Amino acid sequence: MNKIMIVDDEQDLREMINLMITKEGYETEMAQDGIDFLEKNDNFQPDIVTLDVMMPGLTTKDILEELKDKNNKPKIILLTVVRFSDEEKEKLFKMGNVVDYITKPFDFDELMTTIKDNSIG
Amino acid sequence: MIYIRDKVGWGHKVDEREPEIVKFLREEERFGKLQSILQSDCKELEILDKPLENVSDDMANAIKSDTGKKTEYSELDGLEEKYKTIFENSAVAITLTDKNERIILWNKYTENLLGMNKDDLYMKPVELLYTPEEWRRIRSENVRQKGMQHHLETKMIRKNNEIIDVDISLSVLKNHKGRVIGSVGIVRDITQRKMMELELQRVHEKLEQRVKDRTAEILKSNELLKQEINEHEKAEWSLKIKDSAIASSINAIVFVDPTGAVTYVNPSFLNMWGYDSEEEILGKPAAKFWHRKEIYIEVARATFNKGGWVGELVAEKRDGTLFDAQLSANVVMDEEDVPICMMASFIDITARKKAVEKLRKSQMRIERQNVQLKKLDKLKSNFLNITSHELRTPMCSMKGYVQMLLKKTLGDITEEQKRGLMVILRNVDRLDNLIQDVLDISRLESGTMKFITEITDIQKMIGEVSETMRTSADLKHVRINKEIEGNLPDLVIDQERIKQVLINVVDNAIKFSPDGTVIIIRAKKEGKNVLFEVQDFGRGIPKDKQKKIFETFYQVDYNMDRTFGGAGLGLAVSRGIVIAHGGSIWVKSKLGKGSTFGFTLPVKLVKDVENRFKEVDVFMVEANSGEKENNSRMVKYIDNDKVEAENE
Repeated sequence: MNKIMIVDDEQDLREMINLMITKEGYETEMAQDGIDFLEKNDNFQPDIVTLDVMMPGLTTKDILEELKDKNNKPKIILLTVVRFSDEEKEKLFKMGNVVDYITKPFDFDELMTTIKDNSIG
Repeated sequence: MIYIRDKVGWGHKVDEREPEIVKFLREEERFGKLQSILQSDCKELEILDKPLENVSDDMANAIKSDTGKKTEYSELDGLEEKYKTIFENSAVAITLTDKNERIILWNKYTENLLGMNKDDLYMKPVELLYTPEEWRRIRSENVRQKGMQHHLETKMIRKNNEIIDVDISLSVLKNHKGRVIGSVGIVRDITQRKMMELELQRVHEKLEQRVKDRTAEILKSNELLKQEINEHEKAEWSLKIKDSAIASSINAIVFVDPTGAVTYVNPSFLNMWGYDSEEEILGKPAAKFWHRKEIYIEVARATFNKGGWVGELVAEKRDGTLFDAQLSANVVMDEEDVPICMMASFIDITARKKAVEKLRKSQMRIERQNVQLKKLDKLKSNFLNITSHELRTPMCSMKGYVQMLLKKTLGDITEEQKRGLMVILRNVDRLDNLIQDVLDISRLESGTMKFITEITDIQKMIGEVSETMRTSADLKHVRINKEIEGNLPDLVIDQERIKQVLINVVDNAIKFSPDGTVIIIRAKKEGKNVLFEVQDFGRGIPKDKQKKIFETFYQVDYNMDRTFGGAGLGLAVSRGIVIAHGGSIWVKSKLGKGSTFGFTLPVKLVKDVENRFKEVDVFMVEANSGEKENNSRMVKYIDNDKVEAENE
């Protein structure tokens, strides 16, 4: 079973997503910002990460840059409230293992489908 | 008795007892005389010793009778000699002709005059002496018949064919019976006179010609003089005009002689430099009127050397104040290319310089403002993004938990709990839509809405919209029909935003449709646009409200529409999106019959995307520069759009 890391500065949202995913049987870990995620990444070694694009501290770009030097390079699903232009998408997708993005507020089914689609095995 | 035979063959006898006649015949052989007596046509007479057979006695008698008379001649012999001498020595030509106009007698002078001798003259028709024309003229004068003396001027032919002018005095000779026996012509050579006359005439003509020529010359020179005067007057006039043009020119004009002294200034110069009269200036060095004399002198030198100079100088007024002048100087040359003077004209460009400076400053200010505005835009955009994030994140948690509860992920729930959770979920969605609309309006008004364009298949897009709306339509038992024209071109649009417009309009239509009715979505090409229409058969919108429904937070009947929910932001957002795409939106409605919402989107090729979204930029700039109060900007766009109504 794939390991999922939920990165969001909003505790309620983070825990809600965590609950949704664990109820589906995934092993999960939570991080409250970019630095937290990068620290936990080495230990937990997630396969998929849901990454909120708007958090205090490191920007999405910073996080993706940092991830380049890490041994574990999970697939990234971005959670956003803004729509990306093709140009922005292209930039983000080039930077790291960004595989998809979901616009908030999302449906339960939408999130789970996206995670399942990107799971290995 | 002697006999004479004439050429015709008639014989004539002459009595030898009349010795004078015989002598006359033998010695003098003046046959002419005899001939005239005999009145014969013969040209030649022969004296014979014996008579001929055919002698006419009558003739003989006649001769006898005539010769009888001739005896009287002998008495006049002495006198005749004298006449003969006179005749021979006369300085005029005298010729005698017989009645047949043959020459029978002439004097020496005649021979001289005509260059002829006896052979040329004797018994020759006198007409041979004249040119044919002249002879005809003489004949026409009919001298003989007139029987009188006659004077005429004519031309005769000399032997060498030379034609000479003569004056002839013709007299008819008659015998004692009064019959014409010949004529005598006294001929004077008037060639000399004629030549003189001709010469005279020639001289006269020459003189006349000269007079004519001279007159013409005088007239011509008169005309030239007039022209010259005219031109002179014109030149003088043009000079006057130029003078007055220089004098009245707005430009200051100055003439400076090669020594650098001012020789002329116009009133504008006085005005510009603050002098009262030209006396204060004339004769003064021109450098006096400039701030930095050495620069002026440099300019003057350059002007004289190169023939002209254009540039700017700082001028010094009488009171010492300075001003910027634009100068254009030229050198005036004389005919030998020697400079006479320098002519310069000036404009006071102080005002222009100030204006340019002002413009530059205001441009800089605008640029600064632009930078600030851009910063502000960025701030606004960031603010809206953060607001969006902040407002929607809680929604996300709420929605997630409600969905999990409803899915019984977190344990069993009762039917009542389920109904309660469904109300929460519906209202969370409504609140989320409202937040989304409020943020969209803010973005449209602040010009920070982002449009992401892509090539869009209209048929497919409408299909998706209709599919999305099916659930809410089914709830009201409303059927959605589609009438889409075949072969519609693909559009380059922000598909999500246009879908949002269509969903707004269809959602409205569903809300206002009575149960069991139909909604029609149409799309067709119309000129350079694609026209979208959504028609319902609901209660319709009053004519005076049709414009207002596109305004922010406006609903046709606040109380009435509370039933259906919605804050009335959807149409305002739709209008903003359509206008940003270069289209227009409107409603046609009939109370009680229903409404048709329509909007257009321009058909443009993919390569025109940038241009298309320049229009969006225009919208954004407009939105930026407008007032922030309420929704005045949106109203402005709405007023420009077409609103059609079919109200009764």
